[in-house]
Amino acid sequence: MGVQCSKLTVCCWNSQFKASVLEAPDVENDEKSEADCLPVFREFTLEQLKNATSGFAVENIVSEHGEKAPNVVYKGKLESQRRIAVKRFNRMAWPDSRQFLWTTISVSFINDLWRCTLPLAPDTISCVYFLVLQEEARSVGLLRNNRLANLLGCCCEGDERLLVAEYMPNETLAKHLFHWETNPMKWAMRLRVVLHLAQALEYCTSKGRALYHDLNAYRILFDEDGNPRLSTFGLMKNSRDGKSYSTNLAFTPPEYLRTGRVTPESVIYSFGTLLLDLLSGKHIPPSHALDLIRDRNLQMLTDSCLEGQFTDDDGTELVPSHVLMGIPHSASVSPLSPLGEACSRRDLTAIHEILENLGYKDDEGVTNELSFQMWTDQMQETLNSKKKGDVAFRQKEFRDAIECYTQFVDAGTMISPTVYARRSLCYLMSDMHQEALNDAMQAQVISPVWHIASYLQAAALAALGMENEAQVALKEGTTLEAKKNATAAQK
Amino acid sequence: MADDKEMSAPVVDSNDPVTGHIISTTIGGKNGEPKQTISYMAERVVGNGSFGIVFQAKCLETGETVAIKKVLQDRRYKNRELQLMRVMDHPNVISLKHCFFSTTSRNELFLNLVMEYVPESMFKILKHYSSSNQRMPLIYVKLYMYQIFRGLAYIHTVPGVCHRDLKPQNLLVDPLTHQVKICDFGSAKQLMLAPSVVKMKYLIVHVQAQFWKIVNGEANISYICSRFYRAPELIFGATEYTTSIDIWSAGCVLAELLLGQPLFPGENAVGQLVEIIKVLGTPTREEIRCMNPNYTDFRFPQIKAHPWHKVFHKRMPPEAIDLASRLLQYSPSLRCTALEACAHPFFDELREPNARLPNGRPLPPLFNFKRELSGASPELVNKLIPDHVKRQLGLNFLHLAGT
Repeated sequence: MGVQCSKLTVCCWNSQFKASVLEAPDVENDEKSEADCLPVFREFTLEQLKNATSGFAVENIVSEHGEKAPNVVYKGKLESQRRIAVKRFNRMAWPDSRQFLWTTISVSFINDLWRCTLPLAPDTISCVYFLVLQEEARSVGLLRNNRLANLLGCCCEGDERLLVAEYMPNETLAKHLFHWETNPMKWAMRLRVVLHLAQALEYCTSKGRALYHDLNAYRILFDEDGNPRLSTFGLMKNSRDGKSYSTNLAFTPPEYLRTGRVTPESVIYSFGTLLLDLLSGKHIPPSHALDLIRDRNLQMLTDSCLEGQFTDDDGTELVPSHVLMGIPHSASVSPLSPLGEACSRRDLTAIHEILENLGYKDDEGVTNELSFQMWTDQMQETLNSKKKGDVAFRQKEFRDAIECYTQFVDAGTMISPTVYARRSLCYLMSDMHQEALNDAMQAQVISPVWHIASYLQAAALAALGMENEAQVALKEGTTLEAKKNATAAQK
Repeated sequence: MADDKEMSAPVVDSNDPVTGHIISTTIGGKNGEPKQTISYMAERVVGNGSFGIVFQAKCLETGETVAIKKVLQDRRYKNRELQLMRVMDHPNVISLKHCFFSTTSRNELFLNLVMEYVPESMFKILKHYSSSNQRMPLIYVKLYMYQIFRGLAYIHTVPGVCHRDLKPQNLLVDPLTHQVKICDFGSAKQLMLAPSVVKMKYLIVHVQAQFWKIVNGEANISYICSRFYRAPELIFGATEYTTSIDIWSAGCVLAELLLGQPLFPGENAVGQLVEIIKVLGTPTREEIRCMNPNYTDFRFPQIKAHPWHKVFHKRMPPEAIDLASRLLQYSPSLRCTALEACAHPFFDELREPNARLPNGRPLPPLFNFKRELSGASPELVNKLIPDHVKRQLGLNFLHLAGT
């Protein structure tokens, strides 16, 4: 684990629980690998976000919160095929721009600006207010951690204010903990949520963003692997005077009731209320829960679904989150074959080796009436260019291979899906991703159930940043390959 | 007290007890006591309902004002309310003076429960404050709620019954001493008929429909009072409910005293649940199981709980919010007991040695506990009896021991 476990993780964890049970046992746990894949924080145009969400279509709404004027979160997909969550702030929430300004002075330079220019023109105010949002978002946008649903960008255009974050497809902790449909959340998974949350908060604190607002079960989301992540939207909150914040927590930190302010310590209080949520599966006033704990009346507090799940066994099994959560998972459907694996990792060397070993076996039944055409000179020439191409391919001289295979294809006398596949890989090797995709598609046109065509598409799509399409193609390849193997076994 | 089989002289057409009407009955005559005639002059109707009628009356012999609850009596059964009233003996529970039967020309049998008369009800006091656009001063909220919990602690532990219909109309207040008395045990201990599963499904569907109406601003709410205080497990059709349903009702009364209006003003069972959900959020699976283990097939849009501090006005003391949130929980077993509520820090002001009414008069008796303390832990008893009272009691004990 690349994440430091200090104050937070130590205080809530005693040695009774080995870290192993809490860890999701997948390779992606490495903080760096994932953070590196993420693009840096950027500004989006309203047009881009409109396109991503099909014009903020109602069907794309994933949540709506806010008392009078809800701030709506949409799901969407960028042109790069990355899935995103877009939070659109409702202007009605701040009917008066002056009031809005009052609520946004949380960044010091704006604070100064405010003090020296008290009567601001409305234009200046909205200008300032966008600056604040941008500044705030940029600062949160610097954070990158696989315990967070990271902030990818923002948009400030006209009256619109939007935030863009990674999309988490597997709902909120509130849903899984409080409003589950088929299975209650397992104890091991609840422990994992606590650990990941602690790590997320620890990370934010270490980056100077200790003040997480309204930490509650709706702020924890589950990624496609079923791992819990903390929403970054909660890191951004408007402040009335730079110090005090309003809060929408059902159970408010006591100091807020006394002083009207939330502090970094309030976050720890809310973390505690989340521990109670996870233990009890119900909403209980924290003061009351503390009384029960003091009286050792844990039975009354504990979620009845957890009966029999606490054991002295430290549960050293490493069960992936998606299994604990019962979430369908692409990788879990069927294990990838060596070629599928190589394509998903875009390990071009491995793909090359597999294609080389495969030779032209899969062209059987596709090849034309070779015996007759063999007699023509033109045919011989075509075959020669193919042979030359194969030699170059074997020796990894991809530019030469492309040239020879192109001669073969252009001659048009013979059709070979393998040649297209080989040239596709050569293009991939040469960073000509679009061409690689075209060839992989062509191979599929000739041989529609050929798994290698799908696999190469997956590799090319991934290279083009079309992650989702790549996943679909990879799945398709896996399915086709499984079918082919099954048929071969029957014969 | 009159035996319940004893009959009064028939009173002609007594089903219309208007001003000036006189009812006579005899008491005593057992164990050598002399028989005695008591006559009541009906003065005005102070309440009526499906049960019958309550009127204020004056005893002609003593000049004492009483309240007479007159209910139709089924000749086949004993009256449950009467049975209960006879064993009740607590400063915060209305006391029965005696009772008698009366008949009408149509040969209907009526039971007359003669009770002490308390001129005001919490309902009227609340109306007084809301009509003058004021909120009840906190000291009265504390004083009234404390006495309600003390009365509940008594009826829950000593006769061991559930009131089942606690609401401002059933809480009487003496305007001079500010003593509170719980009245109307007509619903106490009766078993509630459980709605069938089919009815529950109907309910759930309608809760959802109602919710969307509210979201779309189409809801038209007409208030029916007694529902506002009904515990959610009853709406969920629980058959095995406990005295914690009274604690819920008391929580609703507390919130109403603090707010000046009902917290959950639902127009029917469905609307009632919607109102509760708007504040407490959608009950979790576990909370539904706690309310009714037989009914877990509940699907409802996930509504977040409303922040407790935003339910009340700013500057509401945290203790008041804490108490309300502890009383108004979905899980019945998590609601505190009446006695635990009495010990809550919200009522600490009443336990101060120099606590007085705003007009400088002493508080009504608050610490003369009796058998209701029997099951309580030493810590709880210690919290309930303030030090200055302990010292007094200690002196009394010494005094008693000496004699």
